[in-house]
This record gives sequence, structure tokens and C-alpha cells, in this order.
Amino acid sequence: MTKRVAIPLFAIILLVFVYSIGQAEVLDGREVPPLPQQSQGDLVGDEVETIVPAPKDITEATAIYIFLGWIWLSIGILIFFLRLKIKEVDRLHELGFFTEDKD
Amino acid sequence: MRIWMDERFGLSSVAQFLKNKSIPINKHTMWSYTGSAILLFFVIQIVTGFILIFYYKPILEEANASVVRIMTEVPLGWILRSVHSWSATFMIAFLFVHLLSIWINKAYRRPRELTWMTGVLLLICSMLFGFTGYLLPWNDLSFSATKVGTDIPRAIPIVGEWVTKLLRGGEDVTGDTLTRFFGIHVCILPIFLLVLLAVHVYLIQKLGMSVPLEEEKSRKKTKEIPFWPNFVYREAIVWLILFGVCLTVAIFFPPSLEKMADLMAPAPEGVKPEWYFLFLFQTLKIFPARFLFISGETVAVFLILLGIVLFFFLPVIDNKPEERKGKIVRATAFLFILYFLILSIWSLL
Repeated sequence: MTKRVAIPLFAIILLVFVYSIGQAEVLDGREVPPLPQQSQGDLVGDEVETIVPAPKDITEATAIYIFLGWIWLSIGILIFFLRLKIKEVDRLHELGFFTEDKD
Repeated sequence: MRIWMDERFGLSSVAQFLKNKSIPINKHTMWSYTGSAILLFFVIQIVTGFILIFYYKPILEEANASVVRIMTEVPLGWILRSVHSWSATFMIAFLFVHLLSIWINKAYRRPRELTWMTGVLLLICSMLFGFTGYLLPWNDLSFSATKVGTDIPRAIPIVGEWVTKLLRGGEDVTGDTLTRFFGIHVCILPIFLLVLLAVHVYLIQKLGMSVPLEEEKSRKKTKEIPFWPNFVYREAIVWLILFGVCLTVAIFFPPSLEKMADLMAPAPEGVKPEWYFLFLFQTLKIFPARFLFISGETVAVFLILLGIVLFFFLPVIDNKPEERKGKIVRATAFLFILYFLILSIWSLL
């Protein structure tokens, strides 16, 4: 990986990391109102009619979306490295590196 | 450590086999990724299923309440359930695509007949997973759908009644049915599926992947790449993307849960099975009540069973893939896709 790619990539990872830690600390320290789409469902009398799953509160919602962001970022980085590896192994295959190995 | 392990398990011979194994590269190679995608979703289901078992209680009074607890009290339980449900949907969708691509490309031709047959059995097994899993939340909709589903075998003369009783664990869908379905879902079907999967993977490894009919006829040397590491790296990219998509869909579109099923209540309106059963469900509905002197449902069930048998023995039927018969068999695949889509949409309307 060249420096031109590595530095911005590292900066983005660092930014997301710092932002997610900051968000978690801010949200941990305060009372948050429940989201309108609560997981309690639509109440009919005393009986639960339908439970619509959703994050319990804004803290959980933020944590989940940040986690999802992290997952996609990790997937993106892994794909970037895998593509480099594919180029390398394809080149080795064309050079007959693996064929020699067979013998 | 590696030497110690190799002396006991002989792993180097497996590694050598994987190194020597090659994958043909052609315009149909993209379809071979669907096979490993199915495996990925199966693994996701095993992992999420194991965690769900810790909280789920397969008894009449507790089933629905335990799913409510998973969704509301267990930390991130609703995501876990959603991932389990969505990975099942993705798995069956990819199974359909995988089998249809094999059907259209005629990859089942000699000597790969058994690979196809084990694949069809895996599809049936997966659909049964979906059918048994649908009842487990024990809500109104799943209860009524299971009632309808387990009633279908009754249309088969002589053995039908017995099959329905065997599935339900009695005359009606009760707590016994729930326990029975849970047992089938977490014990019997996984054993069957793992055995079938082992045979299927072994056959693929032994016989290799097929090349398209045109390339086989032209006898040109096909371009190939090694399975390890060239193909595995490519597959890893597909797995990562599919995992991300499954998780994202599971978070944004989690399945809801209706209230606990009441054994005495009338069936709710709009009872529908899972999407992959809709075309069969609609097939049963479009048949008239009586067909000459036989019940319409019996005729429909027999036609469906006949279709499954023909589908299973497709490589035997299509024994001359490059001739006229082969072209008709390929056209049938497109007709099936059309039939599946039209009837599924019709059922939803």
C-alpha cells in the first residue's frame, strides 16, 4: 500500500474511532427519551398485539449504527487488501509459480 | 505444532489437494459463487441458532413469551433473531438461484448426476427448515399457516391421514406439534443436512466443476485458476459483501412478532406461508374443488409431487443435453421461473 493511500485511510479510521468513543461517552452520561418506535409494540388493552423490533433507545440505536458503520469499513478495507492479494496470486499463477509447486 | 498436527491428521495431503484443485474460468463462473454463499448463510444460521436455543422454550405456554423476551430483554436479541431469519431467506434464495443456474447451464450432466440429486435434497431439507421454524414463535399467523401446511398431506389417499398425524403429533396443531417441530428443526434436519452437505461437497471436490456445454464440445483448453488461493480470495470478497448485506437488512428490516396463537380462535385473514412456499400455496388454491371424480386438492398434490420427482431425476431425463430434448429441458427452466414469479405475486395480491 502506498503512502498516498495509507495516510488518508489511517486518518479516516482514527476519526471514526474517536467519534464513536466520543458518542458512546456522551450518550452514557445522559438520560435519553425512548424512541417513538419502541420495541414494546402496539398495545391493545393489556395484551401485546404486535412487537415491532427496534433499538430500545437512542444510545442503543447510535451504538448499532456505529457498529454497522465499523463493519462496512472493515469489509471495505478487507476487500481492498483481498483485491491486492488476488492481483498478486494471479500474476504468480500466470508466471507458473503454482504449476512448479505441483511437481 | 504444524508437524505434530500433520502427523496425526495428515493435513498436508488436504492442503496439497486444495493447491492442485483448479477452477475453470468462463462466462458462467459467477454462478459457482452461489454455492459457497449458501454455505456462508448456513454457518450464520448455525451460530445464531445456537444462541437462540439458550433463550427459546419449546412449550405451548412459553414459546411466544420466550421469543418476546429474546426481542425485548436479551441484549441485541432482536438483531440475532432477525439475522437468523434473514440468513434463512438468503440461503433459500441462493439455493434456488444455484439450482436454476445448474439446470440452465446443464452442469448436472454425466458424471455429476448425484451432485444434482444431493443438491435437490438439500433444497427440500432447507425448505423443511423454514417450514418447521415458522411455527416456533407460536403466533397467530404461524399457527394458522402450519395448520394449512400440515393439512395438505391429507389429500394423498391411504397414507395422507397418517402423515398429517405424524407431523402434528395428533389430530390438531397443538403444543405437541410445537415440540415435534422444534425437535425436527434443531436435531433431525441438521443431521440430514450435514450428511447431505458432506456428500455434496465430497462429490464437488471429486468430480470438479463442470465447464459449459459449448466449451466441452469445442474441446478447447479452458482457462483455469487454482482453487487455493486464487479462487478462495475471490470467494472471500463475495462472503464479506453478503455478510454485510445480511446484517444491514437484518438491522433495518427485522421481522415483527404477532400475539400468541389462540388454539380456539378462528384463523386470521391473509394466512400466508413463507415466500418460497407461495407458488405451491397458490397452485393448491387455483385447482377446482373437484376434478372429474377426484378431489382437486388430491390432483394438485400429486402434480406437485410429480414435479418434485421429475426435478430430482432431471439429469436422468436430460440424458442428451445437446439435442432437441436438452433444449426443451432448458426452456422448462425458464418456464418454471415464470411460473414461480407469477404465482408468488398472485398469492400476495
